Amino acid sequence: MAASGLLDGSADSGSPCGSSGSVPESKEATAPALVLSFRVLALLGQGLGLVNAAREILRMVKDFTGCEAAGIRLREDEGLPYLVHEGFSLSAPGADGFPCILTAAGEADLSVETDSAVACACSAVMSGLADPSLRCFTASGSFWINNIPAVVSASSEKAMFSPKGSRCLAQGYRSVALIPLRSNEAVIGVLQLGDSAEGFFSAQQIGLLEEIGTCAGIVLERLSADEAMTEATAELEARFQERTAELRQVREMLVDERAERQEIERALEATETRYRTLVENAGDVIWCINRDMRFSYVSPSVTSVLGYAVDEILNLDPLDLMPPFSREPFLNMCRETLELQDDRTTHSSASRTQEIEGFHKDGSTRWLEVGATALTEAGRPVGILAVARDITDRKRIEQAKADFLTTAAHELRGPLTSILGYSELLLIKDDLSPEEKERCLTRINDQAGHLARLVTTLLEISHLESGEEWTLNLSRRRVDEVIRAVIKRFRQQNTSRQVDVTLTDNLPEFFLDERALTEVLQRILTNAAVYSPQGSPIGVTCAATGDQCEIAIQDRGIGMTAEQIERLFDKFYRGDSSNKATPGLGLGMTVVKRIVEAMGGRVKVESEYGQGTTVTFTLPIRRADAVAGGSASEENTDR
Amino acid sequence: MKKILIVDDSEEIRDLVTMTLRRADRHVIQAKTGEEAVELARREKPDLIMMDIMMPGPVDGLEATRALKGDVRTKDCKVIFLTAKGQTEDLEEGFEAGADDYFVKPFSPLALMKKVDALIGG
Repeated sequence: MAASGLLDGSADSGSPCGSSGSVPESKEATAPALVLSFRVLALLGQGLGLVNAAREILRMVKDFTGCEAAGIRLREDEGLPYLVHEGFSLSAPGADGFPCILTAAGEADLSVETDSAVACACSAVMSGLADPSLRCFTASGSFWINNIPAVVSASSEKAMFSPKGSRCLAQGYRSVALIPLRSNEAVIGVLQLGDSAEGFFSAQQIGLLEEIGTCAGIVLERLSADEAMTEATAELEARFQERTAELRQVREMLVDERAERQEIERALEATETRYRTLVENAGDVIWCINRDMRFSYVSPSVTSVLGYAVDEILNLDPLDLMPPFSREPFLNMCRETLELQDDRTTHSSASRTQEIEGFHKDGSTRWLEVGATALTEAGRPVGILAVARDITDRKRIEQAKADFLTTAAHELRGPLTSILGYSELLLIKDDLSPEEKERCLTRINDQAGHLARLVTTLLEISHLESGEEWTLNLSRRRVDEVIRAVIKRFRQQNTSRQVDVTLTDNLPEFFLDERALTEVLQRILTNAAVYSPQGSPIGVTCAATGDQCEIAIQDRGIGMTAEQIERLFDKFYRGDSSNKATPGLGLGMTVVKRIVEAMGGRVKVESEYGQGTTVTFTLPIRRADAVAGGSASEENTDR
Repeated sequence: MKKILIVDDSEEIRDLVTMTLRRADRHVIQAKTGEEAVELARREKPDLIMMDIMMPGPVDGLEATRALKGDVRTKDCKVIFLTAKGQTEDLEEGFEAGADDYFVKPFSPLALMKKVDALIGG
């Protein structure tokens, strides 16, 4: 092992290396060295960094010794690189910072002989492997030599300081000193001095340098620790900053996320508000029932449709709100809706509709069109969402229309029976007297006329249905004359009927639509006759007040209930639908109202059930013929 | 001599049916309401009654027929309804009341003539 070779020196000891160049000890040299030690220690208080302090030490040492080159190497992990150096040639060790290999125990690793650094004396000084028995080592572990070629004779030293082994020699330094830098007894580095002159160092000088080295060790160790601390602090600070930045970023992300969530929540809230507004203000009743067939929600519109307050209806059984015959279709609908959702063969949006009858709080019935959809939670049906629309009016009109068609067919059958019957009779019977033949023909003719009038009425209905207005055809007429003419005809057709006419004297001549007025009067008179007993009288009055003329027709018939009056002007409505023997199409009053309003008047109906009915309508007195031209459009915009 | 009772609130229809069915060997009588028809039928015991269904008054054609068919004096009278009502349920109700046949207005006098001839003989 190379280490044993290194330490197995047989060279003479006690004397400094080299016979020449020994400096005599003097007290004069000690004082500056002492001052130097203090100056080195004083570097600690100057706020210098490690490198600058090392440079300062190097400068002091160089001034003190006057050597050509100096450097400080500090232990760093497994190496021993120069911290600072001065005076070495560019190719000198340190310029390339070659490392000295140390073992894990801090010993020079001498096993790798090919590496020049291994054999360097620096390692020996550094690792404390200095052998005091060798004359080049001092008791304090320093190495110094004043004439390198002189000592290479020793085999071990030869190996150690061969041109290959020593860079110092290779650089032409004859005198070399390696002083350990100590701190708390541990060697932390090496102060390296070199000079090309032989016998440059003295034992005393080396001793003083060792003292300075101790001070320098303390200073450098301290500054190194400070630096490490500063570095650590800086790193800590940097990591702190980094972490802070990360945290800030995370926080910003959270803030963003929160803002985003708030945005979503706001949007959801807006949507919910929108839907709620829609639901709460819909005319349709929107409600939910759970699987136990109990209400879980009912929209406020239920009050206007069924009369119940929301709180009231929530406590009711849905089935109690409908007549028995509506329950089965309702339950079927609910079951199908839930089953449909259960088997999931179709989309959940599929909804069922059913027309059911429901009870209003006041006991009356309402027709409701109910559309149901399954309410799901996580794909499972938990109830039914339904929308109920009040279709009572539609149903009424549908029923009235159906009744109307029946009535119309019945009305048409009457004249057709006569026309077909009498004409066939004329063709097949040869035993008819001339008088009978004439009677047949008269009846055919009369009934054909009746049929024609029915057809005209049906056409009027058709016009009414399509929203067309009555077109006015104004001419200057005396209103009392028109009334008298209508009543005269009415009396001829209703011979048993007593008609009392009261017309005031002041009735003026004005522009009116004679055909329209005749139509209105005939219809009201016919109604009066139909809905009052055969012999009871009908009263007709007409009076002019200001710019309008008021005409009233009063009967003493069956009268009407409040509900009947309310529905009087409904299309197809017939006051007494139970008695199908009552003739008429059920459009009389609807047509009357349309025509009167087209003429610029108003219709008013007063009636008491069982007492009779009075129909009053007004006509504007148009004195100027100018209105004749533009009246129609004027009246249209008036309404 | 066969006796035929014609019941209808419309004079025109009564006249039409009368002219259609009258023959030298038949006697035709008329009634305007259900009550009148029942009263007249009990008294006159006609062979055939031509009965309108919808008539004003408390007794309609169906009611009158039920009364006549439930009465031993008149249960053998043939009743033919002559009505504007054509719906199946009305006819069913008519047959339940005891009608032997029916004619729906407008009707053919020739067809009615043949029907009546077949029912009560020439």
